[in-house]
Amino acid sequence: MNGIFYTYLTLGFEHIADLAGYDHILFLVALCAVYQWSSWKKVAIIVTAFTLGHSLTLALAALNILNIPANIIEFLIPVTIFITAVSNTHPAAMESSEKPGFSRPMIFKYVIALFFGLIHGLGFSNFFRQLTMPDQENDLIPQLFSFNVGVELGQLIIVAFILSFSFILHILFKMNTRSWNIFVSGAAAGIALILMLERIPN
Amino acid sequence: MPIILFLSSFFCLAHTFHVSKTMVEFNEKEKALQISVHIFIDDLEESLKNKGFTKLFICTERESSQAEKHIESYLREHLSFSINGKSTNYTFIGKEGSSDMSAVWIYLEIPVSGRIKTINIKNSILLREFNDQKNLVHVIGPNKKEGTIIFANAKTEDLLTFNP
Repeated sequence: MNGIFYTYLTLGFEHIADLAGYDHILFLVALCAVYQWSSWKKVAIIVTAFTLGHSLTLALAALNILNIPANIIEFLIPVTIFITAVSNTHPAAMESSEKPGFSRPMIFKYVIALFFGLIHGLGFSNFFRQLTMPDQENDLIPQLFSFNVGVELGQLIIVAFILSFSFILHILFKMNTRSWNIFVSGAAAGIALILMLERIPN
Repeated sequence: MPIILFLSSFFCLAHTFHVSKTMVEFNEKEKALQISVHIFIDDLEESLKNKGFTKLFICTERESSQAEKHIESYLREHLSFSINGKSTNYTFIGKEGSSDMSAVWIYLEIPVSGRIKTINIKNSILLREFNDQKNLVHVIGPNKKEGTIIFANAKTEDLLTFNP
């Protein structure tokens, strides 16, 4: 028997890391495709901006302040993946990884991560709602906090895995970041397109 | 062709989730463990269909007269409690649809005599049907000792100890 923190941290972590619900992972892949380990600080800021965004809407939805139909959110999530993946092919996106952490294109990237985070948070809320017990409203804030910590931990591990994988390809096949970006962004856009078509709201 | 089948099942999996939740509360006044179980109706119906029980229409106007019997026997098979090492037989109080009618709430009760030292919970609700099924059990025991257990394929049983 565990307390709120451990329970909801586990649930948050497993939710983001679950391959069955891979759309959030795919978004992180698209978000980080133009970066290497050397720019890990930028990646950490991007991921944290994404977390800020989804924490906010998850809280608003869990507190019943925001209520948007699940089918619309489930459609918009692959849209965020698609836009992010396609925008990676723009020359400015590639160059941004060379720019300082708080240059204009990077700040734009953080804002995009935050904004798209708002949509993913609504997606999390459909799951989170199923995890709360009736007559436990007082525990909602600690539950939300722990769930978000779990999601953030999961995201950092996924991103570390993605950066390491591209590093290994770089060592083995001399694959440069540019080819990696085009390869991964293309795959992400393709999968996102299929998900969008499947989830067109009626 | 198998590849296409595999892909399509993979895409269908995207973001559906399978969760049940159970609240177990010790009621000092009534000297009973009061239990409420929340299960998604479509998942439960699918599982009962695999056993050959179809057209149950749980929690609808068309609900089959056999539905409650099948739900009860499913639950007795997949959710059980032992108190102080002795297996118990709970009373099936009743059931009702959740507010959005996507799930059913099932109410159970176990009379308790004497002090509760241990509760052993076995929970395998829908684990055979769905790989990603998670069953949350929140317990408020004697002396308001409180906590949550996550049951999944890797864990279907847990022993809780309550000190005086």
